[in-house]
Amino acid sequence: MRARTRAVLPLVGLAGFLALWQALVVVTRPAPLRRATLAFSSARADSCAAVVLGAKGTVAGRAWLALDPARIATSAGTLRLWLGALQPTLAALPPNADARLRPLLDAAQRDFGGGLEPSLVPVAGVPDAEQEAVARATRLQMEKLRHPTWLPSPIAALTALATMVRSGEMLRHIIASLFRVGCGFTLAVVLGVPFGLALGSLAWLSALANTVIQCLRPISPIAWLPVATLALGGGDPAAVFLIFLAAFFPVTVSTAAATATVDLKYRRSALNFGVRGFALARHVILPATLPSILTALRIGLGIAWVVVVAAEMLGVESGLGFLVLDARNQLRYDRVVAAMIVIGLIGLGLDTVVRRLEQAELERRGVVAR
Amino acid sequence: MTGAQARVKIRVAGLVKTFWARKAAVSVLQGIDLEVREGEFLAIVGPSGCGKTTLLNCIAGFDAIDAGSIEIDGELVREPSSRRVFVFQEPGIFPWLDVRGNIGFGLPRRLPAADRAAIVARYVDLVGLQGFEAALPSELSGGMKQRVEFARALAVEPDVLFLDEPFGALDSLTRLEMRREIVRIWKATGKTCLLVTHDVEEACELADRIAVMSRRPATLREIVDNPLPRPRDPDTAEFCRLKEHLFSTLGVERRV
Repeated sequence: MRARTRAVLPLVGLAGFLALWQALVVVTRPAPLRRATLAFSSARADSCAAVVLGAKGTVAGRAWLALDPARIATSAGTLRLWLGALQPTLAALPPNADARLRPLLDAAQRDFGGGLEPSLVPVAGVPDAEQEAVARATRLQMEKLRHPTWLPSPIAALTALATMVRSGEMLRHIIASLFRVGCGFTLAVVLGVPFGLALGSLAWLSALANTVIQCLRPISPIAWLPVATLALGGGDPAAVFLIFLAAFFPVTVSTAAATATVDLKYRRSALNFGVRGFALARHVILPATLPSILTALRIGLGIAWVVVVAAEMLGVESGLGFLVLDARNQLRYDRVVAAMIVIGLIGLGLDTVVRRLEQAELERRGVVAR
Repeated sequence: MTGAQARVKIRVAGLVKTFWARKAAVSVLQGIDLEVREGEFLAIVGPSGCGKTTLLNCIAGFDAIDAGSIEIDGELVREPSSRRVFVFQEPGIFPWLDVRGNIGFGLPRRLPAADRAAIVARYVDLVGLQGFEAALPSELSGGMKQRVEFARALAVEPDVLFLDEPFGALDSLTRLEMRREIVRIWKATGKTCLLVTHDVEEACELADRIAVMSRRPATLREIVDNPLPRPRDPDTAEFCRLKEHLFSTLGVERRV
């Protein structure tokens, strides 16, 4: 492959991915709601008029909604969505609109930036002139709103990303996540590498611990969440513990495997010169296994980074995982995808750094060509 | 260097070694008796897989033995020692250390840096690797790696060198050069050398005496004296007669 082709191909791949993403956005765009229910002011406290609007402001139906206070409370989330979508319409309502709906409307307006496409329908008991005024106002407002999509387009995601980067919010979350991964991963390396060396060198220790380790290893760090929360009270310690677990097992097991398969020539050379015990580990086994350990670190760091997002979805108030969860709760999918982009880029960066180290070590030893 | 008057350095008596492979005993060495004199260059030749390397591993103390005894300087061999150093077929030098670090590896770690540097420099000179002190093994040719391995072995000033087909991984030209080199080093240092090889010509060129092993389970067929004067020329009639004798002892038909 020519150098120029090699440089261009990743860009082509990226462009293809973005095109695929945009295509998916277009294909999965939900059809505009044909019918929308509009909560309306009512003379009575326990019910309100609901108007159902057709596509061109034509009358499609009418209904009275019974609104007992308990039902409003329990279905508040759903109602918030609807009302958020219809807020511009409601804004055109007469000032005698139900006072109980106002706080919900305000919250919905904050959370839900998009809009649905309603049309307006006459309702029994509401004067025709008033309904028509509302319908007109609705259409005007709706035209100004962007088309809502469930999947944000690349542009929307990148815009949200740029906004968060400019405000410094993104940096704060990145630092929080990197800090947790740094703590958990360092702990995993500091404990895992010596433990792996010991496991690979001492047959009795391997016999003692191997079954337990192989049993614990396949348990996903996510499965440890309840236990970690219970033992460490959630928050940062639990998150760091999960990251530690995620990285500890691959680092330990790979180090042990590499230690057990150190070339017999090297062991015998060391033995011949009377190098034993700690000196053997320090001067022969550790350097001999270093390339394998670096590979193990790369895998462990990758898993740690995957797990940080899951670990931050419970009990912490910062980090990229928290950002994903928080943005979803606000229905800001553009921010969700922006956070996903950052997670991917940082994962790539971490992998590249360790891969460089690994590559440099292999080149030093003549295992791969320079 | 040779001669009946030289004292016995290594004494192997009734050595038996059995391997266990899939719960079946495989007898490898069946009663080996061998005496190696001090300062002598002794070669062990034998067919491939006959247990030559196993014999050397046992004498070096890497492998436990099942019966018999191995004494060096009158002491039973229980474990490897830096007084007798093993030179491997594929160089056992460490790829993570440079030439200097490899040559100094066997020296005591408490040795002052200046003394260490002086010793390393002496053996760099001995094997002719001046200018490559900071090179990593990956930057060296096969012959140079083998020189580093020799230097590392010699730096601890052992009495005995165990050479396990040390030239096996080298190309034929480098092998020739390294054979000359090892004879020069052997003459200069007076070490006892125990060489294992399947190459009869190599044994004839290097050794004072040549021990011929049989197929597995191995015994010693014969120990042949090599009276040829050094430097040796493999094209002389005496050299060819010696080779011929060894091939017939090995039971090998040479003509293809």
